[in-house]
Amino acid sequence: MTLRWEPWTPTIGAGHPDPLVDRLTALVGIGRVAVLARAEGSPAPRALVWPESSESVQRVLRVVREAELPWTVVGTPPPFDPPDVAAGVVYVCLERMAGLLAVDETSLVAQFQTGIRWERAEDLLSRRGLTLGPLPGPVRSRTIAESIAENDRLRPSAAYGQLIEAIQGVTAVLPDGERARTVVAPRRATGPELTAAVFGTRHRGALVTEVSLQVWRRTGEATRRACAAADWASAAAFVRSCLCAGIRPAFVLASGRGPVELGFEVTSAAAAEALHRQIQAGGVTPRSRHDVLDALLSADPTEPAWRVIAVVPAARLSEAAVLVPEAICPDLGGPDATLWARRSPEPLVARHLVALGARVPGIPTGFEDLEATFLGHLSRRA
Amino acid sequence: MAYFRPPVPHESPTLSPTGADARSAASARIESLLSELRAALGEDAISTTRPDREAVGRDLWPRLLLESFAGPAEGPAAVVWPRSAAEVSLVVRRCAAHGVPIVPFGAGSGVCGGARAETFGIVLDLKRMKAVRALDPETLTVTVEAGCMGELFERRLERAGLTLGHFPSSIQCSTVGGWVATRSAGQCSTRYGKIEDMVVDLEVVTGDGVVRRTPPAGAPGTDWNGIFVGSEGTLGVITAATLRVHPAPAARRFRGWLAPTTEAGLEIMRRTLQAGHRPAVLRLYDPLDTRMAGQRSDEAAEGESGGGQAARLRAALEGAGDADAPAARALRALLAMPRAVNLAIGALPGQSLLVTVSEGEADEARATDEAIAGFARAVRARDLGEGPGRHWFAHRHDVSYKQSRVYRAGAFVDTFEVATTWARLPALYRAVRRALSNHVLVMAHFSHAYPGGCSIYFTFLGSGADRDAMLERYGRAWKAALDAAAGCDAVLAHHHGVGLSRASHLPRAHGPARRWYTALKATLDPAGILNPGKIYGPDDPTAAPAAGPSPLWGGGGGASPLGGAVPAQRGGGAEK
Ligand SMILES: Cc1cc2nc3c(=O)[nH]c(=O)nc-3n(C[C@H](O)[C@H](O)[C@H](O)COP(=O)(O)OP(=O)(O)OC[C@H]3O[C@@H](n4cnc5c(N)ncnc54)[C@H](O)[C@@H]3O)c2cc1C
Repeated sequence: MTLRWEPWTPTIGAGHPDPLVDRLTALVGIGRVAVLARAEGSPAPRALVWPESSESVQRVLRVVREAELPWTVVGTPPPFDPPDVAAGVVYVCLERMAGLLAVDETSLVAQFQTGIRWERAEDLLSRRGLTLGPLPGPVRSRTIAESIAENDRLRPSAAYGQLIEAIQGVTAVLPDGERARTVVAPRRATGPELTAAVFGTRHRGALVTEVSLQVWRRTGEATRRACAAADWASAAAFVRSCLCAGIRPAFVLASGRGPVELGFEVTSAAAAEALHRQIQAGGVTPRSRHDVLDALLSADPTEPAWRVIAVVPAARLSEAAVLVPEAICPDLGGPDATLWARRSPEPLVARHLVALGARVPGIPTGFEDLEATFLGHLSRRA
Repeated sequence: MAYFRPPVPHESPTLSPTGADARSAASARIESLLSELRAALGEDAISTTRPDREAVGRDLWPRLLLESFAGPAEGPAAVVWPRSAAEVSLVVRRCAAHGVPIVPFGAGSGVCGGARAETFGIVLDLKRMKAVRALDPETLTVTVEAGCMGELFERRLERAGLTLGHFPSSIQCSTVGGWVATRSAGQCSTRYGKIEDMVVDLEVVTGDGVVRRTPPAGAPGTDWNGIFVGSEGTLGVITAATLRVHPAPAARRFRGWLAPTTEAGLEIMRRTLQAGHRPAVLRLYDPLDTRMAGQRSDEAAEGESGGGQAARLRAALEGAGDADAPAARALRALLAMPRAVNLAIGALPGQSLLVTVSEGEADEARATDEAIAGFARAVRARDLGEGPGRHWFAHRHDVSYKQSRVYRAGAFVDTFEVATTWARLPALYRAVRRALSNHVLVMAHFSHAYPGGCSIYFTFLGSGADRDAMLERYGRAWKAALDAAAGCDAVLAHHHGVGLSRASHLPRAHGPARRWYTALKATLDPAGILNPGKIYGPDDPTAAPAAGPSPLWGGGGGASPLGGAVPAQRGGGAEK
C-alpha cells in the first residue's frame, strides 16, 4: 500500500479527526493542508502545510507554537521512506511561495519569495533581460530558502559574488510567528549584520520568506577558456595573477590529479580578451575545453550533487588536493580554497584535512555551543 | 568666552549605579577587581591616573566634544592595556565575575560615542596589541593584532608591495580593531570593499572570556565574521584579524567631471557600477559641496545669491580661527540663519563635481577610466581633466583637520552617512537635506557606490549663542535627520556605526529583527558587561546583565543621546 500526502478538504459538518488540521486549513485555505493517507498505526507527521505568503507563514507558526509542535521547512513534500519524515512534525512546504514579487529596474533589485528555485528565478529574470549570474549545477535546483538554511557557498564568483551575498534585504518570520524585515540596501551596515545571525541556522533562527536580490543586466554571451598548470601551486598563482590584473571571471574551476586543469567563464569581450592574453603570456598551457566546468555550468540537475567538503587555507591546498583527488575547486586565488566533491570524505581523510587547518562540515567549529544557546534565547518569546 | 562655561552635568546618559550605597558598593568592587588585575598583569598594565582616564574617556562624537567645553568628562575608573588575547581573556573573566562594564578602545576616533567610557567601568585600550603576526604575499593575507594603528599597518604592507585598500580619512588616528568593530569604509571602498569584505577570520574574546577564532569567510554555516564585524565591542573584544590584501596598484588615473545636475552625476556612478567596473573612487559632490571643493560653474556669478552665500561660507571656513576673528563672526552669522542660507543655496545651479580615481594594472585603470568617460559624455558632463582627481588625492586626509577651526570659531560640524538603493537615493537626499535645513547648514557628497545603490555623506554646520544652545540645536538636527532617513527606509549608518548617536532610532529601524541581536547579546555576553548601552541605547534590556552578580549600574536617567526626550518609536517598524 503506497503512502501519499492527501490534501484535506473539509465538508460541512464533518471535521478532520485531528482538530489541528481543521485549524490550519482555516488559516491557510482549503487544499493547502495535507495529511499522510493510510498511515494508521505508523508514527506519522501531523500535517503538511502549503502557505502562500509571509502572512500565512506567520499564522501557521503561531498555531504550531501554541500547540508546542516541532516544525520543519521543506521545499517539496518529503517522501515517506523512513527516516525522511518524522513523527508528530508539521511540515511547512514553501512550494507555493515561488513568486517574483517586484523588480526595481533602476537599482537592479528583484524581490522573490524564497520557495522559488534558483533556476526558475533566473528564468523569470531572463524574460526581462536580467540575470543572477552563473548558476552552477549544485545550486540550480535548490530553492532560495534552502540556500539560506545552510548559508550555502555554492556560487563563488569573482564577478558576481556568492548568490547568498546578493541578498540585500529579507522578510522573515521568527519562531513565534512575529514578522521581521531588514532594510533593502546595498550594504546592511547598521550595527551588526542582523541576517548573519539567522542565515545557516536551518530556519531555526527565522524562516526567511522573501528576499530582495541584486541582479544584473544580461550582456553578451558567456565565453569559456581553459588551460592547464603544472600543479596546484602554479594553478593558484595563475588565477591570482588574473585577479590582480583586474580580470574578474564569472566562474573559475580547477580540477585534476596530475596537471591541474583550469576552466574560466567570463561575460564580457574585454575580460575574454584579457584572459586570452594572460594565458598566452606563459606559465600555463592553453587547452581547448574544460569538461567538468562545461558540465557544472550546463548541468543536469538530476546528477548527484557536488557539495562543499572542506574549506582549506590556500597555502595547504596542494596537500589537501592529494587527500581528495576527485575533488574540484571553484574558488582558487583567494585566502581559502573550497573543495567540492560528490560524497563526503572518509573520517580519516576528514581528520587529515582538519589537521591541515581546513574547515570540514560536520566537524565541530567551537561555535556549536554558542549556536545552540543563541537559538534557545531566540525561541524564548520577547 | 561665551562658549566655555562652568561645568554642567552630562547630558548624554551614562550607566551609573543609582544611590549612594550602590555607588560605594560599585567602588569597592572595582577596587577589588583592580587589585586582582594588578596582581595578574602587573602595575604597568593598569592606570587610574586622571590624565590616562581622560585620554580614553570618550571618542570624537561631536556631542561629547561640545559637552567637554564644560570640562573633561570623569572617564572610566581605570584603563587597562592588555598585551595578548590571553590577557584580554583574563580581564573579561574578572570583569564578568565582578559585574564591571568594559569599553573596548582602539584610538577613539569613532564619531558616534561608541567608545564613551562608563564612570564605574574600565576601558580596555588595545594599543599594546599591535603586532603584524603573519604576512603571506603568496596567498595575499595578513594577520594583524587589533590595536595596530591604520597608517602604520598600511606602511608595513606598502614595504612588502601590498595594500589593504582600506583608507578611511581617519587612517592616521584609528586602529584595525576599531575598523572591524565599526564596519568601517575607506575612501577606495568601491574597488576594495568595506572592511567586512576584507575579513578572512577574526580572533575574538567573547563575554565568557573564551578566546575564539571565527570560521573563515566562505565556509557554509553561520557567518560569525558577519556577526562580530560592526558589533562595536558589544558582542566580543576583537584581538586580531586575518585580512585579504592586494598588490599595490601599478597605475592610477585621475579625472574630474562637471555633471549638469546631481541626478546626472548619480547616473554616471550607477551605470559604471552596474556595468561591472570598480573604480577606486567615485565621489560626487552636491552643488554646495562642489563649491566648497573649489569647483564652480562658469555661469554662476559670485554675485548671485546662492553662489554668494557659498563663497562667503568658504571664505569664513578658511579664515575661521579664534572665536573673535572676523571670519569666525561671519561664519556664526551665516549659521545663525540656516533656513535662509540653505534656501539660497538650494537655488544654486545644480552642477555637481564628480571626482574619479581608477587604479590597478595599467590596462584595467585605463579601461575603467574610459568606461566612466563614456557614461559621463552620455549625460553631457564636462571633462575637467586630471586636476580635480589629483587635487582630491593629494588632500584626501586634510578635511578632517579643518574641523577644529569650526569649533574654535564657536560653531560645530558633524556628518551623517546613510545608504539606500539607487531608485530611492534622490528622495533620501532631498528628505534629509530638508530635515536638516531648518537647523543647520547642510551639504553632501555621494561616495561608496554599489551596483544596487550608494551612500550619502551629509556634512552639517551649526552654531548657537552658547554651549547649551549649540547642544540643543545639535540634538534637534540629529533627530530631524534620523527621522527623515528612517522615514525613507534607509540604512541609518553606512560606516560610522551606531554607538550612542543613533541608538534612539535603531529599535525603529530594526523592528522585530532586533531580537536576533538581543539573542546574540545574551549568548555572547551573558554577564552584560561588554560596552553596555551602545547600539540600542541605555534603556536596551540587553544592557542589563542577564546573569552573574547583581548589576553595578542602573538606568540611563531618561535623557536621549540626542538631547531631549527619547522618541517613542520602539517597535514602530514592526509588521504585525
Ligand atoms: C576625522 C575623522 C575621519 C573619519 N573618517 C572615516 C572614514 O573615512 N571611514 C570610516 O569608516 N570612519 C571614519 N571615521 C570614524 C572612525 O575613524 C572609525 O569609526 C574607526 O573605525 C574607529 O576606529 P578606532 O580605532 O578609533 O575605534 P574607537 O573609536 O576606539 O572605537 C570605535 C568603536 O569600536 C569599539 N572597538 C574598538 N576597538 C575594538 C576592539 N578591538 N574590539 C571590539 N570593539 C572595539 C569601541 O568600543 C567603539 O564602540 C572618521 C573619524 C574621524 C574623527
